[in-house]
Amino acid sequence: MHVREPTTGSAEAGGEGPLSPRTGRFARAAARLSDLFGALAGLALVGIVAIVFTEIVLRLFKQSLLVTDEMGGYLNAAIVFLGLGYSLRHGAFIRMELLYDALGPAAKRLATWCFVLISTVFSGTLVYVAWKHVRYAFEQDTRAISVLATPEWIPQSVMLLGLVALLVQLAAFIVERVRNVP
Amino acid sequence: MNLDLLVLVLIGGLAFLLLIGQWTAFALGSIGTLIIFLSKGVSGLEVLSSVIWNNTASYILVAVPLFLLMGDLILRSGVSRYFYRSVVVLLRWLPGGLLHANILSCAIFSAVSGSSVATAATVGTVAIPEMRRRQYAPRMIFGSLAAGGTLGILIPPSIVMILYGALVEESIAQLFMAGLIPGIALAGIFMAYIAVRIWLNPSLAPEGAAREELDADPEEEPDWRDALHVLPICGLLGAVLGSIYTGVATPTEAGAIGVAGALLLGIGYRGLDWEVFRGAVMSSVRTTCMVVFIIVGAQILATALTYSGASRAISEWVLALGLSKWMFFAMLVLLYVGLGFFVDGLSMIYMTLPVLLPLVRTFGFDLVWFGVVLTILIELGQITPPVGLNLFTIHGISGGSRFSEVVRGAAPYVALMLAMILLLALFPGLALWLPATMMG
Repeated sequence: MHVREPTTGSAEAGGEGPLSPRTGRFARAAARLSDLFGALAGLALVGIVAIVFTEIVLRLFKQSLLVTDEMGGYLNAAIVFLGLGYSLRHGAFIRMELLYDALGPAAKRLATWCFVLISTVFSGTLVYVAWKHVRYAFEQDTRAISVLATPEWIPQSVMLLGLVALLVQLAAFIVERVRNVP
Repeated sequence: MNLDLLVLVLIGGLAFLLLIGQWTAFALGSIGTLIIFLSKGVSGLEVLSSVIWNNTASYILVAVPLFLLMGDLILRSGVSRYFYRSVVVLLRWLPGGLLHANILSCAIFSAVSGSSVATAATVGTVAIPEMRRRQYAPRMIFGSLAAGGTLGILIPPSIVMILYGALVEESIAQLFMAGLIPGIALAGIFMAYIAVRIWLNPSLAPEGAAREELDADPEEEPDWRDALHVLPICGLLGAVLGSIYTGVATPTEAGAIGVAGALLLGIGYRGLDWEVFRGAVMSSVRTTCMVVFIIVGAQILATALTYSGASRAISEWVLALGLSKWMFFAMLVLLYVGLGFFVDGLSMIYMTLPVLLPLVRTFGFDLVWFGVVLTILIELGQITPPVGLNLFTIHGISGGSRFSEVVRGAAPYVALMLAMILLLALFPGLALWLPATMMG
C-alpha cells in the first residue's frame, strides 16, 4: 500500500524522536505524554487482535463473545485518538512537501508557523466539541444499544483525552517556536 | 453566506494549506470546520463530535490496523528475500525471467505486506544488484520494480479499498473481490509488455551470455527447494482471501487471521522477537492513526459541503455543463492523472471525493467498479513524477542512477494502467463478476 511512507529512524528506534538538547521542559513533558499515549494505543491494537481472534475461535464452537463489534470499535477509536500526538510527533502524518521543500529558510518557517497555528485552532475546536459531547453523554447517561449497554461517556472520554494530548503536542511545537516540527 | 464565496474558500483554502505543507488530514478537517462555521455559526460545529466519533469507533475500520499489523510483521520477518528467490527459481526459464520475477513477486508481496513502497524497497535491494550483474537494462529493472510494487493496493487485502468502502458505504468484501481480477490482469499486462519488449530487443535482458558465467558458481545458483518458499506467503494470502470469499470470515476477522499467520511465519523464519513485534505494533499504530485521521478530515469536509449546500451547488454546476456519462468519466480520469503528478494518492482521493461522490452517483456509476478504477489511478500517481513515492524509493536504492532514468523506466507502465482503465470501462465485468459469485 502506498500510504505508508518510509518510517523515520527516530520512531523506529523507539527513542526520543525529534528532540534536541535545547528542548524545554514543557516540550519534553509533552513528548513523554505523547509516547505514553502511543504505547497505550499499541496495547489497544494488541487488544483488538486478541478479541477478534477469540471471536473467530469461539465461532468454531458456535459461541460468541457478543461484544466483539462494540469493543473492537472502541479499541479502534482508542488507537486513533491516543495515537494522534504520538504519530504527529514522529512525523507519521503525510503532507505535500513539493513546494515546502523548495522554500527558503525564512519562508519555510513562516509556512510552518502558519500550518501549526491553524492545526492548533482546529484541534482546539475538536477538544471543545468533544468535551461538550462527553459531558452531554455523562449528564444524560446515554447508553450504547448493545448487550453491555455501555455508558457512552466512558469510551468517548478516550477521544477527549487523545485530542487533549494532541493539543498539548501542538502547543509544545509552538513553545519550541516550531523548530521540532517533523 | 453565499455559495460562490464558500466554494472559493473550499478550493482556495485547501490549495493554500496543502501547498504550504499542512498535514493532509488537518488541511481537510480545518477547511471543513471553517466552512461549517461560516455557514452555521458556532452551534453548527457541534456536529463535529459525532462525525469524528462515528468514523473512528467503527468495527469496519478495525480491519485497517489488523491488515497493517499483518503487513508490518511480514516486512520485518525477513521472509521477502526467500520469497523473491523462490519466484526467481520458478520464472528464470522465461526470456527476461528476472523482470517477470520482479512483477510477480512485487504483486504478491505488496498485496500481503500492504505497502508498495516497502515492497519496492525490499525486493529492489535484492533484485537490483543481481540484475545489474546480469547486465539487464537499468530502465527495465527500475520500471518493473516501481510498477510491480503498486499492484498490491489493487490486489486484496487493500487498505485503500477499506478506506474507500468506509467512505462510500460499500461492502469491503465486495471491493476486495472486485480488485482481484483487475489486479491479476494488470500484472499479466505488465508481463506481456516485458515479453514483447524483450522479444523485439533481446539485448535488454542478456541472460544467455551472462548465465554461462554465473552457472559456474554452484553456490550462487538456487535449486528447486528454494522454490518452496513461495508457499507460506501464497498460503497466507489464500487463507485471508479464501475466508472472505467463502463468507467464513468478515474482512476484519480475515485481518486477525492474517496477523496470526504472519506471527507463525515470523516464528518459522526465525525473524520474530520482542523488538520486531513491538516495532511492528507501533508502526501500525502510526499508520492507522494517519490514515483514519485522513478519513475523519475528509468526512468533516463532506459534512460541511452537505450542510452548507456547496455540494449541491457544485453538482448542479457540473450537471449544467451537459456532459455525457463517459465524458464526465474521461474528465475525472484526467483530473486524477493531473493531481497524481503532485499529490500522494490517498490525499488526492479524499480531498476530491466529498465533492465528486454525489456526481459519480448521479451519473450512475457502480461504486464498487468506481473504487477499482480509483485504486488504479492511485497506483498511477505513485509512478508519475515529480511526486511519485515508488519512483523515490527505487531511485534511493538504484545505486546512483539518475532520477530521470527511473521515471523513463516507469513511463510505459503509466500507459498500461490507463489501458487497464479503458478495459474496465469496456468490460465492467472484469471487476464486478467475482463479487457477484461470492457466497454468504
